[in-house]
Amino acid sequence: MKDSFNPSIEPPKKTVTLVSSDGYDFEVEEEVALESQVIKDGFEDKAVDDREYLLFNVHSDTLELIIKYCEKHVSSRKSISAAAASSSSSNGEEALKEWDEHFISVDTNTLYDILMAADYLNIKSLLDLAIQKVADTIHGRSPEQIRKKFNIENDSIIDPWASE
Amino acid sequence: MNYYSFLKSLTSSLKCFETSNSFKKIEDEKEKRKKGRDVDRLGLIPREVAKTVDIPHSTKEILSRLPVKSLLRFRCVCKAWCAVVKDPLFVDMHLNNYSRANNLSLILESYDLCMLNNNDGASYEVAKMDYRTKSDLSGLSILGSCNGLLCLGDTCSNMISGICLDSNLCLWNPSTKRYRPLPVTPIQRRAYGSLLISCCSLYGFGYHAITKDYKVVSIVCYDSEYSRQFSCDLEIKVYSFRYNSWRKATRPLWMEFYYPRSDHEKRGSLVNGILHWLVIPSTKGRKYTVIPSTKGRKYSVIGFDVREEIFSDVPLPRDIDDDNELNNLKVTALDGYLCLICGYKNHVEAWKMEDYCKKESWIKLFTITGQREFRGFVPLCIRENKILLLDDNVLYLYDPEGHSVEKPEIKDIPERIRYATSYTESLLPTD
Repeated sequence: MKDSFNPSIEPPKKTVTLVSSDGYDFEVEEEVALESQVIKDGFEDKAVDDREYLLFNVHSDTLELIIKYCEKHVSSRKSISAAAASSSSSNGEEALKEWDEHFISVDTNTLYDILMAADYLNIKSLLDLAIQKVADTIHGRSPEQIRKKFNIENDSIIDPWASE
Repeated sequence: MNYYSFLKSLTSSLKCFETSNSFKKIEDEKEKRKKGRDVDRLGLIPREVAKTVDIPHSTKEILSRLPVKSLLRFRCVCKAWCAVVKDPLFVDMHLNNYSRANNLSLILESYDLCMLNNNDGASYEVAKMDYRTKSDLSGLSILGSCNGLLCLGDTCSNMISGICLDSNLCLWNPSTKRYRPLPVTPIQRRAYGSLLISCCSLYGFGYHAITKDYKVVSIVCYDSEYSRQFSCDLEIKVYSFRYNSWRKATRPLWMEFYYPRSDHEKRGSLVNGILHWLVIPSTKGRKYTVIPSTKGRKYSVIGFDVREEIFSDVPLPRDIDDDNELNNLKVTALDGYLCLICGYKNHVEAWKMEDYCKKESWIKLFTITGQREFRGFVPLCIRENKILLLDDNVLYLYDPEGHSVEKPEIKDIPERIRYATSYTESLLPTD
């Protein structure tokens, strides 16, 4: 869908530069960066030519994934609204859901990185996605497994049922 | 930020109550337990859980998406998690997050209670509910379901003995297996010495989001000397969960009740913090002028505001108003909307009110024609564009696109389903 936009009609895309914690520059389109509420809030206050954001808490590996997620969501939102405008049937939302599911199927460390970055950048849909994924992975575990996973010391000598 | 600093931030605030002193005691305690000595644990460790424990918001978010069963198990992960599960703010958060992400279940009432779970819209699963462990209700009946709490009542004995109405009411949370019996209050008859010939009750169980109070409404209609002279006599009582007591509510002068014919009609349908019942306005009332229909009756839907405890009139769709063919009307809640089932001579219509209390916002959901058996169905929920109906104690699946009605294949489904209501699990306490 993205390819079908004619670049000669569209005004030149404004871009923003995001700098990861390990010093890599990522140049992204403005609307992609605006998926983050934090950048959106800061956007209005900034001077026009100052389009660089230093993200001290986000590593370049994670930032790459986050940008991928935002780009996908911006483009599929466009295609969904275009399909709605031309009243042609589209399963864009379902396809996006599937894509999300695939996107978030990562190893535990990456998942936590995404979660923390989404929290820091305040990208609500991604945060929800990551939190749900963590919840899905832990719901069947035993308390001992949870302690190990979250690095929690067992201080419950008291039986939780006893006090009730 | 890497994985380890994430874990660190998760656990750093969990440990805020671990002052060196109490922690040492805990360590001592552990050692003593290892040696198998009998020690007075109560003297060593404070029994109440630290109240100021602050778990990071992201951890709470994760926990709020877990089923109640997991959360109850995770109470023994550490003290902070145990405290969170009891925190009223977290209970609310869990109610919002978990029920939003997960399909609602249905609770079916037959001779037992069963839970019907829907797995990905395709298959259904029936699980028996173990309610007899704590309550001893003989003629058990669900009177309402709201935010994971069920209001149960012993309606059989109500109908037989008449006098001891509202006995054996209780609130029950099936997920945490906690229950609270409601106090018993005898009915106060208006005319002294009047006879109680026949009686019936309407019930409602509702919640108001702003006041955060749960209320049980009991409306008892009975025949008395007064009722023979004027109209049906009513007593309206409201139980407040917060104050754990009953109080009387004022009866509007215009209100007269229609005796419920089926179980669905005596239970209030909760929409927008307002309970709804179907009634017949009094012929002597001031509010309505009665237009004669074939049965000489005109239906009306009243709403009872759970917070304000006042009754109001709910506008019905314009199209059904003057129809003489209308011989059956039902009101129910469907996925948070007020829904109206109009049974005509040859077809049944289902209406939905999109904007609450706006007459214009009633839209027709679907019409079933030709099938004689579907006279008194009640829609229960919408799954994957198909509507689950309860009709004559049997569940059906209706497909609005193909206009087909079929019996879904469900293993272990109870034979006679008297009542069904939607249910979402929650941590709400009953004490």
